[in-house]
Amino acid sequence: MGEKRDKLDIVSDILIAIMNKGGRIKPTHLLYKSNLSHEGMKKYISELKDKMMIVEEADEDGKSKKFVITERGFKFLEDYKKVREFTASFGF
Amino acid sequence: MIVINNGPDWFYGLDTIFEIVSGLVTVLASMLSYRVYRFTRQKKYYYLFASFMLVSLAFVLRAMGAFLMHLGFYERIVSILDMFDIIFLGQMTLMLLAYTILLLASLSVKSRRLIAFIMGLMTMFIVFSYQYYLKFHVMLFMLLFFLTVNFYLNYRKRKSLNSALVFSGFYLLMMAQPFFLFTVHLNQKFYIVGQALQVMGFMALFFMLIRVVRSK
Repeated sequence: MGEKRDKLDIVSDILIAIMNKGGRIKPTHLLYKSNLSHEGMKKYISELKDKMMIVEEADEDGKSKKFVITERGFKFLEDYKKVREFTASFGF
Repeated sequence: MIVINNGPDWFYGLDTIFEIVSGLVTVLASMLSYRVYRFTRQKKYYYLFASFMLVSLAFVLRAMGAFLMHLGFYERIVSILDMFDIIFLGQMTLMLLAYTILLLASLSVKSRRLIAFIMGLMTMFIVFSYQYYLKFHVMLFMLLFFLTVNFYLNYRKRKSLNSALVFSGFYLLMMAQPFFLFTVHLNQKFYIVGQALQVMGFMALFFMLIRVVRSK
C-alpha cells in the first residue's frame, strides 16, 4: 500500500490529471483520476478555483463544463516538484 | 586557550575561506528550507531552516573571530575574559544546537518532553564542559553519525543522486571530526584534512541544492 497523500499531494494529483488531459478535463474524469470522494473533490476544486489554479469553462457543446489548468496551476506544479525533490533528498 | 586555528600557521586564513564557503552553502540550504516551509507550512521544514541557519551563524561567528584576531582585537577581548574562549564556545553552542534540531526533525521526534530533555542535556554539556574542544568534536561526531545513518537509509530507499549527495555530504562532515581531534593530540596537519573534508561535505550539499533549484 502506498504512503498516505497529504494535501499538497492531492492538489498536485488533481492538477497533473488535468494537465495529462491536455489542460482541460471533465469533472467525472477528474473524480475518477483524483481518487477522491465526491465531497472531497468538491472541497479541493473550490480551493483551487479560489487560488486561481484552475478555472471552470463551458465545453464546446455548451452543455457540460470542464476544468482548465491556469498558469498559476502550472507554477504550483513546478514548485511542488522542486519541493518534493528537496524533501526527498533529506528523507523528510 | 584561543581555538581559532589549530593548524599550521600557513593555513591561517585559508581555513576561514573554507568556512565562509561552507557558511554560504548553509545559507542557501536555509533559504531553500524556508521556501519549502512557506510552501508546505509543515513545522519540520522550519526546523530544517533553523538548523541550517544556526550552522551559518556558527560559521559567521568563527569568521568574525578570525577577523578580530587578525586585527589584534581578539587577544585583548580574551585577555579580559581569559576563562573562556567565547568564539569557540559560541560556535560550539550553535553547531550542536543546529545538528540536534536536524536530528530530531530527521527522526520525526514529536514529544516536547523528549525534545526538552535532549536540549537540557545539550545545555548541561556545553555549560559544564571544560575540555570543550574534545567534547565538542566527539559530540558533533555522534550527532553526525546518527544523521548519516538516517541519510544512508534514505539513500537506500530512494536510490537518487540527490539523496546520495546528502548522505555523502554528511558522511564527510562526520569524518572531518576525528581529524580535528587528531590535530590537538597528534599532528597539526590533520587540521587541514579536517577542513578539507568539511568543505567537501558542504560542496556535496551545494551540488544537491543546485540540482534542486535547476530542476524543471
